[in-house]
Amino acid sequence: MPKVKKDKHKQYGRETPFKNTSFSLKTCSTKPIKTFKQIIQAENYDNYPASVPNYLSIEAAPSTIPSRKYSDISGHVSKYTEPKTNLRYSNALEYQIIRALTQEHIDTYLSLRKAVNVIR
Amino acid sequence: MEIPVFDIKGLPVQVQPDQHKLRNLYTSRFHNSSIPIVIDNGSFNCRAGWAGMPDPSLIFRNIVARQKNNQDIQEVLVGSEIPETDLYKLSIRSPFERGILQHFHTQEHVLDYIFWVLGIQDSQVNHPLLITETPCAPNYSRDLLLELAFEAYAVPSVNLGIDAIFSLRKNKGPSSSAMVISFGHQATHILPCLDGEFLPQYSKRINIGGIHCTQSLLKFLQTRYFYAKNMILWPLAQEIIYSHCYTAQNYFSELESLKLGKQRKIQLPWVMTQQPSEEEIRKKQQQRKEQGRKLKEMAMKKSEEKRKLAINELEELESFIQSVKKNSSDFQEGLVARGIENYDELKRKINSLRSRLNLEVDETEKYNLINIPDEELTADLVKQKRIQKIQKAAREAREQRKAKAQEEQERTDKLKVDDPDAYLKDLHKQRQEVLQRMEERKKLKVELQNRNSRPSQRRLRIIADLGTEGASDDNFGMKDQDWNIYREIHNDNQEEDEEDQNLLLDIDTKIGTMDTNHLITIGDVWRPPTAEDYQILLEVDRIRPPEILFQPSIIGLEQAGLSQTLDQVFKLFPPAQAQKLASCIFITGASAIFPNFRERVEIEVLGMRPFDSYSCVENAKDLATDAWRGASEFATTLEFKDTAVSIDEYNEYGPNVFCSKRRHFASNLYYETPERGDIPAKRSKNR
Repeated sequence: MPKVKKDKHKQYGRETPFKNTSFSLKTCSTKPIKTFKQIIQAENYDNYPASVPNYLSIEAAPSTIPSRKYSDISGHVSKYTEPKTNLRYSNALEYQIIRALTQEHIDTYLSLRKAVNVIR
Repeated sequence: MEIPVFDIKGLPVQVQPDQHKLRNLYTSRFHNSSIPIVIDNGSFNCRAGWAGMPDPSLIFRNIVARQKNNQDIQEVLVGSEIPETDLYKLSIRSPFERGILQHFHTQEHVLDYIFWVLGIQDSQVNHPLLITETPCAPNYSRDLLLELAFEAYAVPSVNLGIDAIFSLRKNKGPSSSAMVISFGHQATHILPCLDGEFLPQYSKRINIGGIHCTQSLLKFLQTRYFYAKNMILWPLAQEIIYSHCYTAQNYFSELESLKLGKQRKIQLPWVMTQQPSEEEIRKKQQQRKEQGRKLKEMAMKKSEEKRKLAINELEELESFIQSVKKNSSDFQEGLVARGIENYDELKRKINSLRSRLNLEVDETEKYNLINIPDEELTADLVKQKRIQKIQKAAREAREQRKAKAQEEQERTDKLKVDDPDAYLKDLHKQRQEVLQRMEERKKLKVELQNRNSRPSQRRLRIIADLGTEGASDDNFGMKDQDWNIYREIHNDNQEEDEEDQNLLLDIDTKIGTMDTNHLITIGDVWRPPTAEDYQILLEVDRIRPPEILFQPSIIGLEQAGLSQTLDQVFKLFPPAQAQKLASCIFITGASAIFPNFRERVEIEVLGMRPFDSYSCVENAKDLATDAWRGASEFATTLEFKDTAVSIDEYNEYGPNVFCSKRRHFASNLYYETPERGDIPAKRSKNR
């Protein structure tokens, strides 16, 4: 097989003559690839003066008014909660549906509003 | 009421950039010029083009996919290069995560792609860059972006700015006051601007964007229609968002009105299974019949042979018993020769053969000991007598049962012929009884799970009673019913369930032969699937996705919704300034395309502002692209040149160079990342 001459200006099937061939994020950058958490931690936002806005400080505050409850099954306004599964429902028909659900299903419904009980 | 059914149309096809035209444009107009390249680096779509142009040259999904081509070389596909079918696979990566520019290897590919499509042929990108960023972007993102631009492409200068503010500038001109609501793909920002100046310290971010709307809709649908999970995928959710969702002006009244109408159905793709024609069915039936007949014949042959053998043996044995005397030595020899131990066994063998051939059985000796009193028998015989007694009783009981069953059968058969209605009624009654029994057992099972419930208390008491020895008079076991107690304390009654299940099946088939509709009503009969089986109903789903922004609690987020946060921001300002902001509330961002979104915000603002005060909510002329246009206009101004970071400055000061530069109207406030140093105590409290 003839040796393919590697064109340094052709990367990943694209011609990139404008690019500095010796550049590579991996070797040039002293900073390794970070996860979201690591980025936030590295930014040291706690040491910012209070007057300077930053990524964390502009985050909207938690809600102060109680949240409305909606049925997990249909999405309508819900008045009742099934005590065993913690699923909300709005009428008798939905209650019947809840009773027929499997545990796996119940968990998926609860996970939609991040209400799964891990410890039983 | 008939619910309208909609077909899946599919998402609009991605537009491929006209590379040839763009290259020609570059060589004729922009080559050797220092006209800036403007990139609106959004987390959903990326728009790039030349400054001063009315529209961006290329718009593409800001995603990257890796794949190996035919020659086994790694290829990187960007944006519209990715085929439609692969668009939602896992290997697709976006440079953004939670609205932050985070994956720089991906960003590198995106920039490569942009410069390549624009047709740059020089050994460096000799054009200034203007790239948009999110409000209060972390320094990490900016540092790496600068590094990428200067060191990989040797760009002469770079400037950064916030997309939403550019959009405001484009629509409202300089020195305008407005409350900007930017509904993005991964986050929503509220950005107050007073007299053309952006105030980051009063800004707010809600971690909900268009992606959450689509994601939640998809999850809700997948949970509800779990059986069609592999048909409900991202493209479908996106299409529903585009063509069926709208913002409710009043969520509660809209919920009610959705119940009464406004529902829609989506037809999922499905394939009609070919039903076999009548002739084919008949052919198959005939084949089966033929086979059955052959099998039957073979079985008949076999049984006939067996029967002949049995007859021969019987005749031989009977002649032997008659010809030879019972206690003679000949008799003994004959027995040994036939492999039989004694006379009794011989007798038994004859009897079993006779019964097999349906001949009369000599039973004189079977129960011969019963009528002889015990005193006259030896101990061995007494034992035998007891066995005979039990055998006789069991046999009588068996016969009784048989007779009763036959009588019942005759009765129902007669009823079936005489009065079919009564017969059906009878069957239905039986069926109901079985169902009730099963239901009760189910209930009991549920109750037994709870230790404090009455049935489980009762069960425990019975167990305790059984355990205490010598309880009152111990004649347990005299009656058959006594043993039922073990059934009662036995927890899982699977056997009974199975029994009832079989009984139910039996009854159902019996009813089925009389009443053909019965099996269909209980859903036991296979019927070809119809289009209706592949439809999904959209009711609340039509208004819920955009509602998440107003009520994040729907998807379990604790953050305050848009209206609450907007109210909070208004309250940070003195009344006069707040009034100034309220009189121009400016909506931008591609996710705000939901119909009625502006009207809804208007209603919410009306509710939070003081009585009789003026407020006005406006949409950007083009929600998606105005940010790029604003940036493009800005890139032609002198201010852009003044505030950009040049490569010389970068080489001298490093990424912190923004500190020493003058800010422009849309720039983020830059603050050097503080030293780690002493970690204050509040740290643990906050995070």
